[in-house]
Amino acid sequence: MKYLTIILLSLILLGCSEDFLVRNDPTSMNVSSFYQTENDFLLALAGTYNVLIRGDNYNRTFWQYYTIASDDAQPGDDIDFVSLYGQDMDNFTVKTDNVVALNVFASNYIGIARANTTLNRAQNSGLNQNFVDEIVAECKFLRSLYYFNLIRTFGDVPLITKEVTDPDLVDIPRTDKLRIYEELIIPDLTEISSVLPETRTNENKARATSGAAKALLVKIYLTIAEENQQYYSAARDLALEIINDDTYALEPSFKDIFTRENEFGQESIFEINHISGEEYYQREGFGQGVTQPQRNGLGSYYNIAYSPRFKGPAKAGDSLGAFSFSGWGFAAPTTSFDPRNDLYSVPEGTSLVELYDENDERKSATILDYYNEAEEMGIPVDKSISPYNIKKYDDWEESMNGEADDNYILLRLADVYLMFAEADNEVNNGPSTEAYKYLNQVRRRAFGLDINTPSEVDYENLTYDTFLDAVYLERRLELAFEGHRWFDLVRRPERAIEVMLAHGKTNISRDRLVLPIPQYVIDETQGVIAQNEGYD
Amino acid sequence: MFLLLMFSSGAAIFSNNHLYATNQQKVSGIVLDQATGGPLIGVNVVIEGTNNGTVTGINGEFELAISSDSVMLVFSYVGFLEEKKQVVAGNYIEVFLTPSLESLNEVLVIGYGTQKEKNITGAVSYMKSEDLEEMAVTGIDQTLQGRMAGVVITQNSAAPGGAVSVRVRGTTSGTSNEPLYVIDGLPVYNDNSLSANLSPSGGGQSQSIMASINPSDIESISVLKDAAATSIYGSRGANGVVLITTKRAKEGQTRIIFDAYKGVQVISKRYDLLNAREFAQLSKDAALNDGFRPYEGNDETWPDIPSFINPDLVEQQLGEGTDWQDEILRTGQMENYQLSILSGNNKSRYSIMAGFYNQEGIIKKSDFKRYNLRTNANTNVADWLEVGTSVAISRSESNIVPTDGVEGTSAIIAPALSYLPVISPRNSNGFYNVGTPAYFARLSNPLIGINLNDNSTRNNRVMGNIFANVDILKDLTYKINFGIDYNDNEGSLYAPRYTQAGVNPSESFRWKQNNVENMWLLENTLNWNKTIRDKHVFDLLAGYSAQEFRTEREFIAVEGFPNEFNTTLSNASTVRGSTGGGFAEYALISSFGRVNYNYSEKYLFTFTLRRDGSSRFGSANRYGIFPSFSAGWRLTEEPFLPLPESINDLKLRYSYGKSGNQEIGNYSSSVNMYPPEIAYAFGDTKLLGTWPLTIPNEALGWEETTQHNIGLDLGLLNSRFELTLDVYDKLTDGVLVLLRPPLLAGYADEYWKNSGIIQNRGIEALLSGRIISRGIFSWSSDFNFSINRNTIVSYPNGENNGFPFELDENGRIGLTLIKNDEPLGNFYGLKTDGIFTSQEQIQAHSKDGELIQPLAQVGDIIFVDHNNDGVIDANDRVVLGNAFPDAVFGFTNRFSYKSRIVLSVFLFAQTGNEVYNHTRAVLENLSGDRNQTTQVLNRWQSPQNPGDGVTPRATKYDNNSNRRPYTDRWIEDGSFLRLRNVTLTYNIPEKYFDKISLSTAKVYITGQNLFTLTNYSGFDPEISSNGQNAYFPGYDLGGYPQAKSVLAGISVTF
Repeated sequence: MKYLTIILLSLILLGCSEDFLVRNDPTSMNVSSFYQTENDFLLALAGTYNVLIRGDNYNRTFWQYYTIASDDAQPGDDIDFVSLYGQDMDNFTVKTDNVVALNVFASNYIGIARANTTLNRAQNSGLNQNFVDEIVAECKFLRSLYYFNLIRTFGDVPLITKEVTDPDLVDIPRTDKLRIYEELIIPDLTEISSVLPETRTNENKARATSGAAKALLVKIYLTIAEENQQYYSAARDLALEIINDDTYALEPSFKDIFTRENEFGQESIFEINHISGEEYYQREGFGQGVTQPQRNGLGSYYNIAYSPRFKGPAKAGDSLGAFSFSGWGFAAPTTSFDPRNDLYSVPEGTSLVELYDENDERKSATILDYYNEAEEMGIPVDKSISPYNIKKYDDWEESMNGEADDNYILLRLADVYLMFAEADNEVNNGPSTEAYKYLNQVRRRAFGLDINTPSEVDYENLTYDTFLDAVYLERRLELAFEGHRWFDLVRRPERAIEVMLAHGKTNISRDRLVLPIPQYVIDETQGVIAQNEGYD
Repeated sequence: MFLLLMFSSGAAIFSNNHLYATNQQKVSGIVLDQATGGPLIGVNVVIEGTNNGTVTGINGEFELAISSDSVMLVFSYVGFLEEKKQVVAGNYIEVFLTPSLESLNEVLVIGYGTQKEKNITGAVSYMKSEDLEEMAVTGIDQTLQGRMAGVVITQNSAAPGGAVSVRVRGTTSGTSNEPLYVIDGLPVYNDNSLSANLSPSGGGQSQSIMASINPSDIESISVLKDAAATSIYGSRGANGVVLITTKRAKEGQTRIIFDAYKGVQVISKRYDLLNAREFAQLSKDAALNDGFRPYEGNDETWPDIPSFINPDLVEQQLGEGTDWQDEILRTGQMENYQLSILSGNNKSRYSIMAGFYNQEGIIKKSDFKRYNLRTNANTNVADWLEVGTSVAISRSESNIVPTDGVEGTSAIIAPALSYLPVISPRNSNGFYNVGTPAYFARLSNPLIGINLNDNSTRNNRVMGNIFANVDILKDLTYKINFGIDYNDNEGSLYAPRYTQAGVNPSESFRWKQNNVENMWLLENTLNWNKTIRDKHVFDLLAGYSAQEFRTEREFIAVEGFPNEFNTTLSNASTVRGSTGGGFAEYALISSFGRVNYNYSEKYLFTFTLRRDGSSRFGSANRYGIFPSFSAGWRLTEEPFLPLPESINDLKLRYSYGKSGNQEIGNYSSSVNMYPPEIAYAFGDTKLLGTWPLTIPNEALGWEETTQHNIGLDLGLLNSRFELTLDVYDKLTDGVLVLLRPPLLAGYADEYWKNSGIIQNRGIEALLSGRIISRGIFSWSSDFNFSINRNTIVSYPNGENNGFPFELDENGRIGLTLIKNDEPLGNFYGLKTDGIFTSQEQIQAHSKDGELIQPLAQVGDIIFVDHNNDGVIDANDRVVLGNAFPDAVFGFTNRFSYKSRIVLSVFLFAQTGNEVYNHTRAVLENLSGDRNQTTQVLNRWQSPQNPGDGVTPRATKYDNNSNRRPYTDRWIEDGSFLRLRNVTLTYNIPEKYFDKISLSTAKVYITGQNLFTLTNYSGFDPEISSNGQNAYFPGYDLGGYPQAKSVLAGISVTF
């Protein structure tokens, strides 16, 4: 009996296995148990695209930087923003603790991390190979875009291509930008342009296509060609491939490009998809001490952030009593004759507003002449605020709460036409017929003319230099506030300095064509990451 | 043994008769117990130098024939000190024997076993049952206060059933610093934070989870302090271990004990608040100083409040006005009834204990009730098998009035103190006055919160275990123990629409939460006891245990009731917000062993080793090993040492070892995906998306404390005086810190990492003595003190990482900074230097021609520009004090007269700690829009009437920020000396109850907190509104006030 009892009791000793100690939170998805099914990867992919609509990326902060740094816009009427960061970005006196720079830096690395994780996990998932290839390709597209934005904003940056599982793994110095282009971005984009589909169904129209990969690559070739001329022909050839692909065509009318009905229209190659809705909440931003809305459903900020900071009817047609409208006025188009104060005016001949030809339809689709428009609507004009505002994304039908529907077009065919013209001019050391053709097609459309019929607004008889100037002017007029102007200048540093000096920006220098690496990052890596030249 | 005594007694009587026959002289007398006054039966009485003697009879009396006129008698009795008395023939003498208190042979409970006190090599404090019985408190954690060196107890809330913080040898952790409680071998759940969550209304008042255990059930408490003692509990030992043993019957004993007490409580200290006239004058001054009009009595909804233009008229109309303290306070009551039955024979032993405790707090409506039942039983199934069980069932119910917190929360203390004295509790229609006139701060009538809110918690707890002891071989015992702890908490709040706690004031709402905790433990131990050649004593232990803990929580908030009477969940029409809840579990597998070896009780050694595997640790760091080594040397056993005769015991101890703290959260090492939310639209449909929240930390592990301890035990004059002295050095490595992942890693959320180092060093001593022990009067005394010094040795980035350092609007966080080489609990803030008394002084307070305080006026506070940069800002903050005491003292004295009347006096003191008095920051803000303490009568009023030079002028808008919270004005010395307990007991002589088969009976009267000496201006310096939070101790946000109480009780044993 005694020994039987002992044996029975001893049996109770056994039976606890290693699994006993593995516990996962059943109320949440754990990283180690996620990334199994195709649906998991679609969730992760949406999370990777999500960075595009973050407030600290295109949907505000990044946009602020490249728009205000360029000669197209200056800080608007938001006093806090202007005094804190906007003035510094406009005047090239940005300091190393600039929160806009920090947010742009941080958000792109968030995008890179999500892309890295999703594509690494997909490659090891064992799921259907076609599915995996497509997920990987889209992650590579997004990762290329995030790196491209980092490089053209900050110069050399640390290169991270794997899921980060140890904080020490990212304690690495900056990699030369040309290496990132040549060893990561160009091979990736080249590879995926044959993996991604040429067209998308309506349910997937916002996802990257092979055309998007190619167009992005053209832009990258053009960006690095200033230092390595051979890339002009690569840009020219690839641009022509897109142009000759009948997937895309110019919209007949310029203003149709940005209408709600024409989202993902025939000219659009890649656009950020915004959908208005109720979801609106704030999360702490990465900037120390600054709270920023970062996730806000899928609405866009373009209209509220850049709409004039004045009171007016909630929407067109409302009674005059309904003074409920007020934008934030973060940025305003430059003008040479701001009635408020000479301080706001830029040197004559350098402001966007005055460059448009009287008959150029692009002007009214791009710029809101607030004083005139308010007067026409019978709203009392508040002359203490900026006379012009950005209109491309100003959808007056939308409520002013950061929940607008405006999509943001990153790549469209007119851009590719103009990139082709520029590259072709470089390859042939002067404009060819083809170069004239695509430059003039863009211009004719702007004047409401038939794009295939020669007209009086056509460019002709230009030299290499004057053709390049013409391309630059058309790019500025055509693509204003779409994120191209500043980087078009930056990729040709001498032109950039010349233009900005003429624009009255005396602080401009080669060093100031990039933002400083945020001091936060330098401190965090204890100096492993070095600061850009000219900043301290 | 008993039979043997009878036999020897019989023999003695026989020989006695023989002597009697040869000599006609005799002596007689009675032998009594010095401690209890009761007669001692069977005491040996022998004439010195002979074998002639006798034993005492049933009444303790003896009679002895002697052959000479005077003899020396020797009285000896097991467990008592030997006594000699010279007696003259024919006399009757009264002899008191003193219990030998052979504490050295006393057996103490240690982890997974017991050990003779004299052989213990670690640092262990223990509490005697008599001390336990004296304290009329709700929870066992409270009984420990001041009784043990190195164990610092702070009552976080004086509310009935309120929580306490227990710190064994300082604060080591960034997460939990509470010790592990082990009740009858069952490590139990003691996290008060979950019970705090039971009230959604804030108020910071947490209930002690230990309050569900009845202190009357307890036989003894040991607190393990150093690594030698705690490392057997491995990853849970770093904060100390409290071992609690409940009462079990002994063999051959049948006792029925009934205890009851009943008492009253009143607030121990009140604020002196302004009366109606003084308030009106202040409010008027504040307005006029800023160029505003005083309150003119023109608010139509407040017809009863007159104009403040002439404060004397206010007095005429309202008299003193309302003292809101009177309105919210009451005389509290407490009562306790306990019936215990203990019985045992040589086969089975059982005890049944049932109790009821009821307390009505000194704030109206707050109360705590506990019903509990415990059954402990053991039976010897065979001579090699003993089976036993302990089961405790309890239910506690509490009505909570939230106290700690500032205006705008539903807490009532600060708002009650600042509510206007010109408002009466009810208006002329008999309804509660609600709110304040728009002219004043928005405050609510505290009576509404108290009387109309229904805020209650209920807790059902079943804790029990079953075990078997098997004697496998003569020296080898196997024990299996299986236990459970089931804890079901329910919290409920109903807030009618006009009370502050209702988030949306237009809707009444009810909130309900249920929280169920389940724990089971299976434990197997083998014990081998062997003495070889009478000198080598081995006591070996090996064990294996598995434990699983699970908690499930759910809550719901509803609104839309048809009326104020049908307010159950089912009557609500809508659910407010989302329902919620949580789930958490963890598992622990451990193996452990201990070797105790001593050589002739002279050289003592203990090795312990535990290996814990915990589901809370990262997969790369799943098992922790916690070793310890300790040695003792009893110098009194060394023949070659020339120790004085008076030293009967001298032991030196040293220990070294590691223990851990696994309170790192349940899933902290693994990384979750962001809860899927709308992330992007591939087409026209919004899609969910997700991403990893943060960087994984598979290496996440326990906080590891390495501790050295040097100790000394000294016994003098046959242990009449005893000293225990310990010096320790604790270094906690891998303190958990919440870190931001590197920005380049691209994660947004913070992650836990073991990366701080905190050191605690200290001295603790316990001195006890029977100062007078002869004759009819005795006086014994226990004095203990402890000193602990805390240092942050290293913290990521040198300071403050991850912790908010600015004061939030509730004054709840901030002030406290974490900095390398500084202690935890430091308050940082601005220094002040009195007030400006002239315009010239304001001008002189400048830097390079610029005024340092440009907005100041005469009568405003002078802030010290510490860094001399001409600006007053956060960079001028300096250390203003520390929330932890320099030293803590406990002093117990027990006086006994004839063992019939016993008076015990317990003093408790702590010195050197500061308290941030946020309540005073509100009550002296001089805004004139809320009531204040009478301290503001000393305010600056004019150059002719400058007040006390410290209190600034009244100002409504406060341009100079006189009232800013983070200044030295609100940091106060929290030192105090408290008469914690006085108990006078009368042991009723047996002769009065011989007939009714009572064996003992006593009546007693106890006073608690009868006085507190302190300079602290608030209700009480012993407060911690932030509860057990390691980083923000010493905040007074208006806690439940301390009460003083008087109670009377009776205890009878049948």
